[in-house]
Amino acid sequence: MSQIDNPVPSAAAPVAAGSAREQQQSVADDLSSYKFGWSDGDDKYAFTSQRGLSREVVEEISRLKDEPKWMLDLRLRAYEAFLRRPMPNWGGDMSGIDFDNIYYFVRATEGQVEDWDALPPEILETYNKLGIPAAEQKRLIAGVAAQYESEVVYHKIRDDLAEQGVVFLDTDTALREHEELFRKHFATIIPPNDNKFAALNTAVWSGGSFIWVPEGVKVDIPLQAYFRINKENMGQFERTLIIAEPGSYIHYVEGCTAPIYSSDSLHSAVVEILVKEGARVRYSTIQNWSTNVYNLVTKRAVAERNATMEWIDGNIGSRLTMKYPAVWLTGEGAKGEVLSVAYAKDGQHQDAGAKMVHVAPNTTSHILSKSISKGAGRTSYRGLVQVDKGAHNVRSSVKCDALMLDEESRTDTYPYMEIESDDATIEHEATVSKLSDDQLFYMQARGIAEDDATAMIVRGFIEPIARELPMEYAVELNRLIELEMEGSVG
Amino acid sequence: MTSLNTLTADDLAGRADIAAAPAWLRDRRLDAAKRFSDQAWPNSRTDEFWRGTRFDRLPVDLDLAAPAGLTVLLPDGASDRVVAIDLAEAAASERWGALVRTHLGSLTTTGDGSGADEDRTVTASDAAWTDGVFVHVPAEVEVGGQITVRCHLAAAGTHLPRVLVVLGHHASATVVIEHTSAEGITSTLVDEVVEAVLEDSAILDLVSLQEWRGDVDHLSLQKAAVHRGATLRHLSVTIGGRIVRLRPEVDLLGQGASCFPLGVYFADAGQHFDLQPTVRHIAARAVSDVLYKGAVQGKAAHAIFRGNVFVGHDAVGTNTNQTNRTLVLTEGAKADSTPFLEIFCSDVVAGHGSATGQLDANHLYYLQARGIPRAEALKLIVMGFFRDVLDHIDLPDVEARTLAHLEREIEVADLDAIRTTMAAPLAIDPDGRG
Repeated sequence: MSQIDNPVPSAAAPVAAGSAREQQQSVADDLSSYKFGWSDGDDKYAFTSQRGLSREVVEEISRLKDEPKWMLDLRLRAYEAFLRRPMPNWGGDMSGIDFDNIYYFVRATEGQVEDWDALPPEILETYNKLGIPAAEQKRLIAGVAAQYESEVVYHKIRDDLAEQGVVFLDTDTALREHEELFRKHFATIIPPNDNKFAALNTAVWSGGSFIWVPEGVKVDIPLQAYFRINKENMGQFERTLIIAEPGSYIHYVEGCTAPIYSSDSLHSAVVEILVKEGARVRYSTIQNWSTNVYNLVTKRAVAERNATMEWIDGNIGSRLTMKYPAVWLTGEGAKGEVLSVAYAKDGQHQDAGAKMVHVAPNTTSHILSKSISKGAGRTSYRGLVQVDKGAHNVRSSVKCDALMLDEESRTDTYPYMEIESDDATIEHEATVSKLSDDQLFYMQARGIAEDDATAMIVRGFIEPIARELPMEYAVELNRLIELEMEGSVG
Repeated sequence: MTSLNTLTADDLAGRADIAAAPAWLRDRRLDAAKRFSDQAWPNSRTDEFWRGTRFDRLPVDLDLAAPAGLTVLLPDGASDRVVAIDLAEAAASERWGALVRTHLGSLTTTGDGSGADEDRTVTASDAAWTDGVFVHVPAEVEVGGQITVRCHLAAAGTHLPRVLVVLGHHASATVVIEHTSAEGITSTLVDEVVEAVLEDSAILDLVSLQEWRGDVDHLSLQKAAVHRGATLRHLSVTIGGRIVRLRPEVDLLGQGASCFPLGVYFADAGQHFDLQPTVRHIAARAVSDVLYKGAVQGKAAHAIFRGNVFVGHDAVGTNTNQTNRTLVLTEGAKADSTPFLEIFCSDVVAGHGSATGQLDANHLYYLQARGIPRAEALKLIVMGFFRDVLDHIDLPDVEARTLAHLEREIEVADLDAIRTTMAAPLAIDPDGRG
């Protein structure tokens, strides 16, 4: 994400002369902190729901959005499911989530704009700091959706794509403008009662992206969505639906940040993707929420005949992330891939992984997971490879590597493999290692400072995944991890 | 009739063997009975470790009175150096009572938090075990040959066998527990607990053979405490039984302790094996290497490998590895593999690998090209696959017996239904353990 390249170092750079040591110190302080932790005022917001969730809040959201009745009914059904479903008794510590203290719907601006300058100045300032308008100007991305709190405040797609028929809208607008297509697919891949947090999302969803790529259209530059939480105790529940018609290609990239507050926010998204025959969808995430955000996300794709679905998942921020991007391989010859990087420092738990469900014959899947835990951080790989009866000639490989940087670090591996086919080939491998003293010594002996050497080793460790990202995102991922690494070795 | 479902402290207090037991044992059993009445049966929907086996398929309503039929055989010339007697008798004896009191239940009810939260099936054994064996190899005694504990069931019902093995420091022994039953037996539940304590530098080879005939359901916790510098090799061979849920567990409690949990399993039509080797690295510089290999064939054959390796905060210098290989031989059989790792300490070398697949078509082709008929060639490949595990434990009798079982399994298999693949990475790969 070059668009959020050095937002604060540039602010820190002008620090006047002072002594060299002072300056060094200020740069070091700056580097060791979360870069995106500022917040804007919220007193000019167009609408803020009361705290807590009730049937009335769900109805209010639907009314404010002027939705068709079927959507309200679906929301209410999901709300019932949310109340009914138990909290997961596995994964991370979710005891800090106070459902009654959260704002479920916050409208920051009166309407969506197609011109950055039409945004309220403080919101524009935020996106400028994140570098998004600049990236759009440089034509690094084919379309932008910027979600601020509950709704998408800026939205634009390149004219040539719109001419080819590509639909790229925020999900609320899509419901109004493409109701039939929307209704046909919404909540079909992840049903409202799939799990407690998917039910919650379905009840109160707002914002997110809706993408429809016509048959044979290949979009060669990524579409980009940027999610920003600003308000304290905010709950962001965006809903994304991507439909790739036969033979098409799309790459969707999302980034996320939030201010640092003393009490917690909740991000619980649902992403549904349908990849039709021969199509390919790549979905990349650089998740960098501040460490007071619970990030509990359900992401699932269905890959039809000869389709390819790729999830590239970078988890660096949040207090607790529980996210297992899934691919249901329902068509013969479909391919699924998940590349996942997780980084956890003090107070963070990244419980991430992948699910591959092989329903059809001759399907293949690959999962590569790399996790790094630093300080008292905890990373967990949790994944499933399932091969159903009749799914012949399935091949799947799973590889997870964990790197532990400190004495108190923790890492876990929870792979599930459930095989019901007599000709599937399934492999799983995992390694856990600490930062190698030999490697550090080698580099230090050649004059590389310890911090730099550590960062280089970590960069080498995640390289197999970073190289799959578009160049500017790879640079950003490396830079984020390098920042996090500052002062890591005592 | 008393069953596990209706068991109460009053029932136990009235039982003749418990009334006659020393006061400390009676109190412990009655305490366990109270805990038992406070506990609920495991719930396969909410209890992660019961995910693989539906508890409601187990018959907990069978008569509890049936004896477990335990006998023990010592190798020639060992009887004056080794103690192998009835557990109740040992508990009551002046000579061994104190030792039994120290160790019996020490791994199911106390310890580093690893026994206190045991589920109700283990509490049932603590309270109501019916038949037991106590094996004690005193310090510095090395026993050649194998000590055999036979558990043979002649009648249906609920059986609660209990085995306690205590090796003093620098002792060494081989203990083989054979589980057999009369042909055609049905409605039989075995709820077994085996505890093994290895004092400093002891060496124990502990083998558990599941050779049940008929419809026997078998729950077994086989737990070892391995102290400083001691070594445990545990081999489970699971061939018979309807539902077998086996938990070979090891706590590595002393520096430099090591354990090698090995497993061989072959599930046929209708058999359900849930194998859960668990290793807890509590102390520093301990070593563990789990190797389980199995095959499934036939309708509704289901094998579950559920490995758990836990590396505690103080277990610096740990070296651990976990490997599971399963052959799915025919359509309709199912294999699950969940090799878990939980690591709280960064100074470790840890790895695990799992593979599920078929026999390698190249191997089959190679043998057939040299004139070996297909059936014979398949047998050779399968035997080679398993032999890798048996090579890790140097017990010729156990090896021969296991291979004979496997050969029978392959003989009854429908060889025409066995699939091979050109892509199998796992048929025979002694060096390829990931």
